[in-house]
Amino acid sequence: MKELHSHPLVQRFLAEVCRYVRAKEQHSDIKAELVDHLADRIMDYTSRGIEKEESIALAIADMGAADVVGSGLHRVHRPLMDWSLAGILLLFMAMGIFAVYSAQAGWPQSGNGYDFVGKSVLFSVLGIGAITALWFCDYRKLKSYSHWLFAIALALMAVTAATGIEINGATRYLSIGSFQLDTAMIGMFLLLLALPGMPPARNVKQDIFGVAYRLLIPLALFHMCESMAVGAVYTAGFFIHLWLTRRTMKQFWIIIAGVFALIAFEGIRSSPYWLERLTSFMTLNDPQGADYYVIQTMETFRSAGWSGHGLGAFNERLPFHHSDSAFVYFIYCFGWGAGIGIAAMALLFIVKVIQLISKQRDDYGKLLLILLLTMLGVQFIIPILMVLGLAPYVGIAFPFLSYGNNQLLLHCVTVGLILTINKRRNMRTSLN
Amino acid sequence: MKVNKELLKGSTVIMILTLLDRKEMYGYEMIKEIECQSEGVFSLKEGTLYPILHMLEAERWVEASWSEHEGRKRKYYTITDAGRGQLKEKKQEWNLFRGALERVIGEGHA
Repeated sequence: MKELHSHPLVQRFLAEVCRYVRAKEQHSDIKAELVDHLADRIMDYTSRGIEKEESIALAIADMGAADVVGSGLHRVHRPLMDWSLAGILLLFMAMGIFAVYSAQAGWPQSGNGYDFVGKSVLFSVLGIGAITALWFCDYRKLKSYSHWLFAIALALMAVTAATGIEINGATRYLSIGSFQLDTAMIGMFLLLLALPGMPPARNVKQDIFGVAYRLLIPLALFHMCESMAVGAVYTAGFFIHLWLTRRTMKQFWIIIAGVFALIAFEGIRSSPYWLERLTSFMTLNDPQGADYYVIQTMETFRSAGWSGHGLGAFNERLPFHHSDSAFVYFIYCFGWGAGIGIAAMALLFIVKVIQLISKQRDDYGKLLLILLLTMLGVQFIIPILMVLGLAPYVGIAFPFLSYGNNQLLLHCVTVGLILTINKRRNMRTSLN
Repeated sequence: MKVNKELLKGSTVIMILTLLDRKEMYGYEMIKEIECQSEGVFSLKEGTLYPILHMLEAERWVEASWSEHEGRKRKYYTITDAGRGQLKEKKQEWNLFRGALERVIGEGHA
């Protein structure tokens, strides 16, 4: 019955069915399944004494109209666009431009006439362009480049640590012409993008080398670029990846214990009040020092009230009002309601992506989605907690709302990847 | 007597899930089983089974795996925990519907 595939009647039927199914990856699955069915049905007919050619024609007729079968299959396997996620993204981008406009209106003298709003619009357009380009790419091709991505990220950060320039107290920028690359953020993004395609933790032969290469070296580089907050986001992603690809529970807990012991030891050795700085936001007993920003942020938040102080309201308390403090400044201008609205949008975004993760069947795609969500989710949640006084003041800015061309583009690429991974959710083949 | 197409549509999913709740099966096997058990009342156009199976797979109510059979590739389906939950729900829905219908058309009481 092997020759059934090439029988003209069968071939025509299969071609007709597949003509409707746009996901080409599915064609061989569909053909194999239908041929198996036809072969059984034909055998049934011939065993009842019906001649072979007639049996084939009868079996195909039993299948029903090829266009009905084909369009039915297409509906299942068609590319999927998650419009609600795309909608949230566009809303965030619009809010971001508006927030930057407001921040600039409040400080017309800052930046010496630099056009923040124009730049934000330009990079939003570039971001949408990147999302569109990603839509037409197959994310699975990334997998084989994972080792390279990881190495490139490390190299990029190493170069920055050695030769980078300092902006706002962090040596995390690399100058290329007139443009400053935020290599800490880009590095973190590339590392998290690479992890899902690297061997799972259960297949790493020597845990010590695995952890050293995948966590300790990146952390040392984040430390040298003075961007430990970004390093913390990466660490969260690393441990989630470790948990999801662990060999045993024991492996996971030993690595966690080892890493934290090492970090605590190194932290206390290099700067005795390192831990104090991270935890002092809970007690707020140092208003002139470590807690200064936390207190200013909370005070600004409290004074906003329900109505806010209006567009471009002046506030001399806030540092970095258009970047790290963008969320609290937005609330200061437009009131608590606006803050709740933004926080709700961020939570909705997270919940939407969790839903997409639960529907994803491709293991690689699922891991990628989880790490991309970790990256964006942490950046959404920390600034919200910070405003409420529940997290220390660290250099993590609210995505989209804060000014930063690098970050805007990176976040767009992140959402673009989420959309394009989800696009192929039902297009994947199960036949090898 | 054959059953109306629309009536059949809604019940195909519940029939497939019920079959798969018993054992792992492939498409043709399900067609034969449904035909046999319903004594020919339910005979659907065989090709239309596959969009439904693929939809169930996309919803993760069933899982599929391939194996070799007489030189051909055969796709087997198994029900998942989510699929069992779905089946339970659909059966309750069906019982409610059947009870109500029987009361209305007057065959429910003896």
